[in-house]
Amino acid sequence: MSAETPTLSPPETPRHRAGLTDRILSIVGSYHIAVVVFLLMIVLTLVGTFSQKTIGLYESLRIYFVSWMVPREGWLFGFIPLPGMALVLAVMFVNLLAGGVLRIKKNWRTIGNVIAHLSMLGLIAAGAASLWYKQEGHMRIFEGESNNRVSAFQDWVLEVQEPAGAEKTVAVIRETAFRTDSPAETTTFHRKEWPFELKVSGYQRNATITTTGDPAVLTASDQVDGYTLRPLEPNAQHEANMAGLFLDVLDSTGKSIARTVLAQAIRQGEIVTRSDAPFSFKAGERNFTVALTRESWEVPFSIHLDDFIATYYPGTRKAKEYESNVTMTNAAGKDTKFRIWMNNPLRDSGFVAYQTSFDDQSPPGQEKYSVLTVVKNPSDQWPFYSLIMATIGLCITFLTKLSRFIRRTVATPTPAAA
Amino acid sequence: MPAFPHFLSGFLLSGTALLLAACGRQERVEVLQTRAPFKNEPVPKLGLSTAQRYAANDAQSMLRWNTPAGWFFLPATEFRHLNFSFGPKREGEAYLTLLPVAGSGGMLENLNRWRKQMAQPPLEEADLASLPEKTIFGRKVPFLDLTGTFTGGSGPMMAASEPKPDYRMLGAIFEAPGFLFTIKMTGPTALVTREAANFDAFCQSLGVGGTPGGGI
Repeated sequence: MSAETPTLSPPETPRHRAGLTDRILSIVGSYHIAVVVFLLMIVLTLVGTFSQKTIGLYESLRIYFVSWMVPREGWLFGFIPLPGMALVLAVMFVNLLAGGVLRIKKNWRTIGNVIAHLSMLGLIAAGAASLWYKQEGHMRIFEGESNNRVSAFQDWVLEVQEPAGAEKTVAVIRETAFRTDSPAETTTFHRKEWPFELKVSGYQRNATITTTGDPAVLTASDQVDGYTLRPLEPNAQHEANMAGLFLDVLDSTGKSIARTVLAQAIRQGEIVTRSDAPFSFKAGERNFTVALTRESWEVPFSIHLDDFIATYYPGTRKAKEYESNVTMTNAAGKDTKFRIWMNNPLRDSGFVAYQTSFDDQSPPGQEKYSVLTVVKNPSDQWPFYSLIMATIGLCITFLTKLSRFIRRTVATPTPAAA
Repeated sequence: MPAFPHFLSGFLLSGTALLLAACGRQERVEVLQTRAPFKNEPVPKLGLSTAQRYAANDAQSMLRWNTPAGWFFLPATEFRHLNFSFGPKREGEAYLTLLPVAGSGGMLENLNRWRKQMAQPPLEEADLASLPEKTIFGRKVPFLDLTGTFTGGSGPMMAASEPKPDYRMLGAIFEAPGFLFTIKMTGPTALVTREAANFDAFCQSLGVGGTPGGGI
């Protein structure tokens, strides 16, 4: 028996470090994670798709497809938490990058695979860029008038401003920040330029203003000057929902110094109106206003509707074709004439304006108007390029495999005939 | 280095997901997003009352008033521009109607319509001067106080109702520039008697534009 000799750990070498990196990449880029990711994608796609029937497209997107975590109302069977598609795709991105691009052996045989994996990364990146940076809304233009303002289809915002103040900007609070699952929950907003805080409570996704004596709100526990919110069943078409909430202006001690109820839809009995008149209040000597409105923004060009033309199917008022003949004035003041019609949008400054709706049934004396959907999506063309890459990658893979198969077939001697 | 069991990778992912699920929403948020004012964006109006912002008709957008405690502010109807009920079963009614003078029938005709609802004989033009007066909108106006069986319409659609004995009606009809105002309260005598002071306070609170009680 030989004497025991002390064992020493081998010194760390570059090869060792590479081994560690490779091990990490092998875990992060493992097939096991890929399988879990694909299973979760299948579950989310199924649950999200079926849920559209009851909750509508917007809510389904919000709960399952653009969320990091599925909110409680979307849990599987009500008690199994689910990651949102954003998280699943983020994990898939890392998994693909590690396993399908970094870790994969790179040679002429795998180049097709690498390109195909890169195209999938491109598709995921396009989705992420669209989620964070895409702007979409509508622009209504009356015949003979110009417009450069776009209003969101769905997103409500609280806009706070001081009309006579030094700060000329309008503070914007998006619905995602004050939206709550229960009207009992509150959210408080502060800003260093404000001598107050705003507390939002009683949020309703869909509601109208009504009077406290309305038999439909006999149980209303909250009211302002005889007005309260009448909650309505949320509409599956989210753009039809009119948000409502109560708003308290808090002083530095947290005491409410002004209070209002905000919503654009007003219903008193059979009388239905809309109002975007802002709530105003004084904080010290300063006057502020708060309005609950659809988010809107300006585009760097204006569109003048020269003429709107609609043709109908014979004997009906169903539009067969409709088009807007417009003059676009760009930021430099240059005028360009365009015809916007089905599948022929106007493109400028990264924006695309599609013809989507119109009204030419206005009474005499009132102008017709055209509605354009205006979209700005920096990743607009990325899926197209990604799919071209995927096609190239898969073609290379196919041709490589085919070439290998042919070479093997040729190289293998065929048994001599008996 | 021991091999990392790969099958745990999926569980790690799920565990991370569950941890993230525990993250709640923020209850106090700093507002960072701003936008520049739009070209030709109108300056927001200051000082609008809740009623002016959510007016269902011209009366609500023009007037200021105080709703007495215990009254229910009902949705407006075509002929009840400010509409209230009161009482334990909401059996008492009070409302204000604002009509253009042209086509309204005038003060005497409307007064006599109300008297007929309480089975009272009509008045002549000369009798108007003998009616008691109240100050509403800063002007002296004739005031009606009738007791009897009420046969007038009630409810939001002013539908004709069964005769209601032991009822009391308080009201005022007067013309102001361009408009005929009618302010009326009806209900069981005991209830109206109890709420008469509230009705009076409501009438006194009526104003135009500025603070309640302003004149026209």
